[in-house]
Amino acid sequence: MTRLAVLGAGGFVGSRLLELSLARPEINAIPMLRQPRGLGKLARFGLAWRPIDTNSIHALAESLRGFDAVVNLTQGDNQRLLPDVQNLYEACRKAEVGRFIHLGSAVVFGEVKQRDLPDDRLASECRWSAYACAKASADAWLAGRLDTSGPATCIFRPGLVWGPRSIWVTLPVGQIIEGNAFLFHGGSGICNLCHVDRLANAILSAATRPTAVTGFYHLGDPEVRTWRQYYSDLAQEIGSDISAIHQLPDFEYTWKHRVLGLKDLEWVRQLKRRIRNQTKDQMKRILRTTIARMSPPSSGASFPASPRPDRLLWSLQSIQHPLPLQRFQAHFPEVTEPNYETAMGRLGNWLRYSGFTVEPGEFR
Amino acid sequence: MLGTVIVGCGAIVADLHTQPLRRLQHLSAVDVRVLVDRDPARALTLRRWFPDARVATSLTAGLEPGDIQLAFIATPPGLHRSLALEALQAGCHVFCEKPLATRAAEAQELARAAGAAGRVLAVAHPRRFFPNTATVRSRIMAGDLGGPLQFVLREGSPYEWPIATDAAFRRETAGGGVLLDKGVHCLDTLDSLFGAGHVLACWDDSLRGGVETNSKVELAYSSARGLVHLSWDQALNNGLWIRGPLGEIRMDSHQIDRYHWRSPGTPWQQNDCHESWPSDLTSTGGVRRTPHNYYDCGDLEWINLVRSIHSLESPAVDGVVAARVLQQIEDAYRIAQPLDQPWLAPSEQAFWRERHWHATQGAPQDPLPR
Repeated sequence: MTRLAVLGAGGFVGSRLLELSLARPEINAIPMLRQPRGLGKLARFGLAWRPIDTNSIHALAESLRGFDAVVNLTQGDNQRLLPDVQNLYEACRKAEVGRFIHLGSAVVFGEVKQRDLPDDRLASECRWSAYACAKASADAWLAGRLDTSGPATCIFRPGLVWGPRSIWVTLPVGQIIEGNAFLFHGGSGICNLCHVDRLANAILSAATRPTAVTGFYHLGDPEVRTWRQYYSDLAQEIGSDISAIHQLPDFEYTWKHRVLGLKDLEWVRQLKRRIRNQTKDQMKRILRTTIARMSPPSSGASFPASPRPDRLLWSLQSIQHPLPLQRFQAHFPEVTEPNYETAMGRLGNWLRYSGFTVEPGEFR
Repeated sequence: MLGTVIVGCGAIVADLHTQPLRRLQHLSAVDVRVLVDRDPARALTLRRWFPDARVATSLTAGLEPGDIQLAFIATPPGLHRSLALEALQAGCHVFCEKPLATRAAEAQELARAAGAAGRVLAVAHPRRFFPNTATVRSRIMAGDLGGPLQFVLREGSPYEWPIATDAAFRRETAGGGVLLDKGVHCLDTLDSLFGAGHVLACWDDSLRGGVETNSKVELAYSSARGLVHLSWDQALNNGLWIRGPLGEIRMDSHQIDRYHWRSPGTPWQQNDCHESWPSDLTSTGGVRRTPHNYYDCGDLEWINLVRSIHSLESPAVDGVVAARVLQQIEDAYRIAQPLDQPWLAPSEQAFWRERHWHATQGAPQDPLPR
């Protein structure tokens, strides 16, 4: 029996990891959560859980003592990402946890401009995304610990994690339904997808296999898809087609994006956290009223939807090469599921279940 | 001026109720005199907004000097019944966060107790003040959609409420999961649109020892039939669709002052709503106000409560209506079947179906760690 501590179990990947592990009697997975609200996604299981404080190495070590492996899927504040990883790693060392599995991200490579990107390549420049920068810093710190006497450390760097409940499904599908989905460059960029079940199975394999694996691993679906193919498949599943998606030549960085980009600045995020929800709502209302005053009357009107391109999607849709997966496939030959076609078919079932269809869907 | 006690000083009070209470205090309509919480630190935090209030760790202690006429109960749902009953028996009017209780019989008991004591018992349902719901109700009543009607109401998003404990996820303290939490709002909205209804079928994903994170309920009303679909763990294509032979209505959950309409074969059209409610405590209701967000609705709900206590109108949701909706939820729980999850592999679907909380006959040994 492998005792597995899952930090960040209340998230998209964590909840699916828990779900899969519970069906495997050789694994005893325990959700470790910073906030009780993280249990919302796990409430149906009625699991025992443990609160954790990632600010304290000592408290963390006490919580993690007795576990065979620790999985770090925590997200949250970009500024806390590196210190949390450092504290967790040190706590694992102190508690003599054998394996530390960390979820990195292929986002650190930006547009993937190199065909044979080595799995252990560290991102050398801080990109425009604060999240990518934070992830890259954590990667670099962990890279310096791989050959030390600490826990065997395995870092997965998946592409876009898709599947039921993924933001990389609900975002484009919502846009296709609303009529404001868009593709740059005819959708010819490579969409480096990684199905959530593939990622979860890789983590469970790293936690339970007889011999520990260490190092960095790119992780993704072996089937290479362009953005056009991916969007086309999604559109088909919801009763639409590729013609419903706007084609954009390139990204124009306007003053609107500069203004919208402010919200990602750390000091703006901190300020936002301090403002009461009610005040935020009132500010939105004033803004909406002001815009409405400058616009023609809305009642009785029907609006043609227009795309609202953003820099993140432009960057992702500009990816030039698939992530090389040879190292992962060589070390984890047992992780083969799911096949893209099957996964897309099942995703279609989930989309219809969730009401994400061009027409409202089932009424009964 | 109504001497008021707030029982339970958690996130819902700080976020939604503090400002309306302060405004009513400024109008000399209420006076928050006691803050009750098992954790005095939470009550002391809330005292920032009500500096003259005293702090107590139990309602009994809070009611002691006898200067309280209104009890606002905002504790976990499992405590609502006993606290509301204690307040009513002490002669207080009661305003209770939803759900009024975790069982229909408890809600009925409270409604009877309020009637016997001649006190107002109201339940917090700010959605009763959504302008689009009120407008759509008028259109349904006017027969604009024809009949019979079909509907689907979806409400799903990852659980984000900043709760302090895990009480919301245990059946013994919360009474249920997403159906009781979000569903009570949705079923109340349908009650306001279509009148009393009954449950035809229910599917959920709760396992033994847990509460449901996903739920689907099929309901029938005298003029409509449809589906409520809820989730705590995923986004759904949220909103309310109502379809009749003469037209179709769509209400997005985040736009409370507009709705979309289309006649058969025509594109969707957006319609603004201007329904309004009394905004002060005069007998005429003063200048009526159209709410534009959830907080505006919270304001109007408190005004409705105080006006009800002064016999100027009726509470938007009283104990009888709340008990009716809770009866539907209880009926749904009683007949709940395993939710189909067709996005999972067939073997995985079967695994979870066998461990559904109602699956007792021949169910396998529970492998889940407790």
